[in-house]
Amino acid sequence: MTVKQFLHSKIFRCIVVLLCIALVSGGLLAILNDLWYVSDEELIQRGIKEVCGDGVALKEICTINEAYAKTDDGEVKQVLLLDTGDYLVKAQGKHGFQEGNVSCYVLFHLEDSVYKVQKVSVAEYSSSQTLMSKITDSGLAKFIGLSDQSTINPKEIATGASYSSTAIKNAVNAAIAYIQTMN
Amino acid sequence: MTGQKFKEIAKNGVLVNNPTFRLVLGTCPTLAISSSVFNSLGMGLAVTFILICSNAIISALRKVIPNEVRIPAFILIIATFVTVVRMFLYKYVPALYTSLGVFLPLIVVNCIILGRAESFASKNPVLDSAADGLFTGLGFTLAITLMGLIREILGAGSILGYKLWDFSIDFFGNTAGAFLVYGLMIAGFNALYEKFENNRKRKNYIEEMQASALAIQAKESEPAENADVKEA
Repeated sequence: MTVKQFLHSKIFRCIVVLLCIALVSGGLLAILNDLWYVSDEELIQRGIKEVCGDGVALKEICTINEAYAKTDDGEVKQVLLLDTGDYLVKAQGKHGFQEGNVSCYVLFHLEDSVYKVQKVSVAEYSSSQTLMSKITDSGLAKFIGLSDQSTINPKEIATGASYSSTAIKNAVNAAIAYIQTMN
Repeated sequence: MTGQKFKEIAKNGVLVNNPTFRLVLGTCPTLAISSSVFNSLGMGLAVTFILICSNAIISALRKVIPNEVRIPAFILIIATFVTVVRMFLYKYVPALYTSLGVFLPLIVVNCIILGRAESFASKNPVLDSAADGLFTGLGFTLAITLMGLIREILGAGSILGYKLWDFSIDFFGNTAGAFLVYGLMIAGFNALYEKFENNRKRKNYIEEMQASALAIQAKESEPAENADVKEA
């Protein structure tokens, strides 16, 4: 096949059409990505709003002590000090479904000089966690009041999504383990 | 597009070819997402937007896209709009983005969207295709929202997160409950549809019979009248 024949062939037309569609799509998505970019600061504000509601502001982003941040089953990603004096810890739990991860926000309130879990909320999770819709607020409420690492059975958090529940439990445990080192 | 065609597209999209209850397409998100009204409505509206846009673009490019690469081209176009919806939800409705989870990117391979692209948009003008996308999407949205409503009331005792009562049957929040509700709704929808369709057919048949009886009467009376005229 000569170059001229190739340029007039159906194969060339197919390639050009697909390339054009891909280029236009890519251009459109690049523009929208720029327009709708979500900054780290916005993500933090969202996390605070979701867990604590309106009216609570960030006081300080704490430096994470790497020595205590990682456990076998989880890792603390972010520690935020709120203007209420409470700590909001973002931790990632391992061993979800297909070895995926689930990140949670865990709000700690100081009670009798011990930090206790006041609220848990799911922040994000890997795409393999297909049954996250089963995780409800009532399931996450099982952690409220805990100050020691949880021994809750993942099935108590959500039935039918026990791997994802295990990852949530691991995230909460990592957050509790870390916050106790700040006491 | 004439008003008659518009009506036909609307009727086909919402009732005759309802993607969820009549064609049983898009079953995966229907079963997985319909645990609450908020999720169902979000998924339905996302699919509707993607259907309208992808149908319109595919229809506009139908003479340009070679037949051999039509499926990859359709997937590219659909994936673009799915990504647009994902970015929009992540920015403005993060709660819905989190709730829909993996089922949001999976819209790319939703049978309803691919099916309408292949069977309608690639063969019809832009306006017709956009209307088809709108009404097919509305049919899907209505069906999945109705399922979400039933499952949320029975499974969580609430509507849109507002608690109605403390009574709830966990079974309806689970996958098995989703299958049961889906099956019953398909049966109910099809029974109603068949009933209306049979009534319509019977009515048409009676009208046809009456018309043909009148025609026969008119024919029979014609020779008598002619004979009267001749006698006169």
